[in-house]
Amino acid sequence: MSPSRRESSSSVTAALARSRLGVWPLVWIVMAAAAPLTVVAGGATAGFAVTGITGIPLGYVVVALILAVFSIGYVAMSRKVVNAGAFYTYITHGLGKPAGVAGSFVAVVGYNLMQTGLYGGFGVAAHDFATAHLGTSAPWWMWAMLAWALIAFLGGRRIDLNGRVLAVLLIAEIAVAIVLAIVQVSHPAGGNTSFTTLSPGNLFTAGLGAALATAIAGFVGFEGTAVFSEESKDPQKTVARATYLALAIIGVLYAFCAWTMSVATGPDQIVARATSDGSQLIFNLSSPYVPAALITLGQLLFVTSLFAALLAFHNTAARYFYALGREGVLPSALGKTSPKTRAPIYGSLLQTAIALIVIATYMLAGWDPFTRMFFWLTVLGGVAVLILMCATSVSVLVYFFHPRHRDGVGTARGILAPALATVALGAVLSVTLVQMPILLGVGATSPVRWQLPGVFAVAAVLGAVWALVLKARRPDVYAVIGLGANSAVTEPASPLVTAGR
Amino acid sequence: MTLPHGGLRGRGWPLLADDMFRLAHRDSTGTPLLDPHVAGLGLAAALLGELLLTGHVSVRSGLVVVSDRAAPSDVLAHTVLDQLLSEREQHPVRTWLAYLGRSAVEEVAARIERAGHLRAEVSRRIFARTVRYVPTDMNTAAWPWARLARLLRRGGPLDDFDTLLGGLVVAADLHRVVLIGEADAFFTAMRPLLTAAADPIRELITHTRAAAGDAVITKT
Repeated sequence: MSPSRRESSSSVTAALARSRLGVWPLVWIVMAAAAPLTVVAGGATAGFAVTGITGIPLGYVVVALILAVFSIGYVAMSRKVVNAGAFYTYITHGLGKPAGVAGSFVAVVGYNLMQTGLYGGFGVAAHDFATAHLGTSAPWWMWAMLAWALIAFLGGRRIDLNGRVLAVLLIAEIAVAIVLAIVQVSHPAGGNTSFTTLSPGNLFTAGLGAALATAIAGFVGFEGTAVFSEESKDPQKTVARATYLALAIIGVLYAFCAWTMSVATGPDQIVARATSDGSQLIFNLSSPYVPAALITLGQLLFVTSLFAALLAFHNTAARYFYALGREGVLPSALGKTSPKTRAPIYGSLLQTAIALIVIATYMLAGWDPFTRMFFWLTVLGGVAVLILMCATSVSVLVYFFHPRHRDGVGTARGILAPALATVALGAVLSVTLVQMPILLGVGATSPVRWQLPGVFAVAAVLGAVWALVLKARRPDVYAVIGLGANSAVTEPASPLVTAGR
Repeated sequence: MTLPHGGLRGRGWPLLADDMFRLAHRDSTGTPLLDPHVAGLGLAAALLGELLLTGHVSVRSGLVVVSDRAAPSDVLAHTVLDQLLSEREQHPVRTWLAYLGRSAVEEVAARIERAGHLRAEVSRRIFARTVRYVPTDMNTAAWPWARLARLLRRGGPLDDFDTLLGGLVVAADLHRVVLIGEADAFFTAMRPLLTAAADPIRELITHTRAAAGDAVITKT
């Protein structure tokens, strides 16, 4: 589609553009999944505690920069590819269908790990809150099951949190996080404000990979902007601006809040305090200096933020199942919707079932819900997204390597940026895998260091093999891999399908 | 392309959208069976389908192309054709579905109401004013389902009108709400008919299905 066509004075295109998403609604959608307070109070403190690395704050900055470079090519390709809904669409276009299906399986596993892990965080946060303020002492898993039942209901009926409710919660979360951070930075340990945790020297030590992987888990959800490329006012600009804006806001927020916690405890004490206080650290550090009501509000917002993230990732996982079911890659039942509510009903039910199994396993085995469930599973979800972003960068590079795809996309955006992103993300992925014991907080010889990331290797191999089986047995399904809902349109791939708006 | 004839399917004009509307609402109460956005897409497709059946437009490589500028005898179809003609460039089916889908439910309901088959009931609640379109005669309202079900049970080909109607039902996943238990049989019966349908009909249906499918993914 040529830009000049878009600017023609068509009343149809103008009327449609008015009802489409602008930059800020897209930023809200992304930030709802990123759940700022979940990351600041939960992810960052668990990161300090489990990895023992003090460079977590800088990790957020470095990751935001790497993801910004990644987004250049990612967003450029979202304008070229029909139904640029998900990573696996890009991988299919760039690296072929077996790689695409492999990517889709990794994504399905990753987003489900992310979602189920959040139940651990929610259970603990709700338990802490109820114990402190409501005088009940129900165990974490009862709260997790309560959330699970609510998510099953809301997800199955495709009821999203009302946009305004979500916006109010998000603004409140961010406001509380900033106020607490300012309180912490104005009460530094020993009276001196230390920048140690932001110094590069501190990050590029033994725990680099662990700090970066922790940080990446906090950004998961930012990739959602591209899904809305066809729903946005101006696919050329809206998605790009929203993506960079979201990255900048959450990058600065995470880094600032994590840094101020280390200022308040003193860099040498942050790991010990994070270990002893867990997700309450951010509140405990500020409570002597602010009204108790603010702390209570913050703790409550931490719980709601986790819930919003649970719902967002439930819907993401259900959509993945739906898109794959619609294509026929997974059983076509998953592609069925509830016509009344537009819910991907079987995708939602499957995700709900998976979550139940995971919660029950942790409950029966008595494993720690905060470090082993919340941190391990969400960080592993982050590793999955890291793997997918690596593969996507390579795919973007390969895609734009063909000059016929490069119409309107310069060498810098189409070649240089994805090449740089591939190198950077590849480096992060390899140090993450090397430092897996630090990231998980286990011994260097522990078998889980290979078993947990090995899940993704198994998923990828199964995906690639399954693609080849489909090629041999069901060529009609193989033909539409990567098209998602657009697999219904099996006319020769016509770029015009999205053109002319 | 065979022109439909007579009866409840329109005297002279193929009232495809009316039948789609009846399929998408409960015949006794008028309760909507589809998500409003998907209902809009389905009815927009049906409005385009009417112009397709009468040879006013065609669908080629995903674009809606006007092939006959003569005024349609139906007022609503006339408005739709005017909108198509007022654009200097050809737009993809998906663009027209999105555009027409914004108001299709109300417009088609108004057309059926003018014909005396619906009664709009306005109810005011605390937060919103909702309009429910209650059929004046359940038999008329139930007729499209009865006809489609009977034709499919009998087997054999459908005419273009019913092929489009059945195809749009499948595209919106509507058969899953109405024909609980028989949904898969309906789909199995429709599939070969859709594969064999004329290119423009098939294209219109597949783009509607894709639009409805994308609407699931990008619901905000």
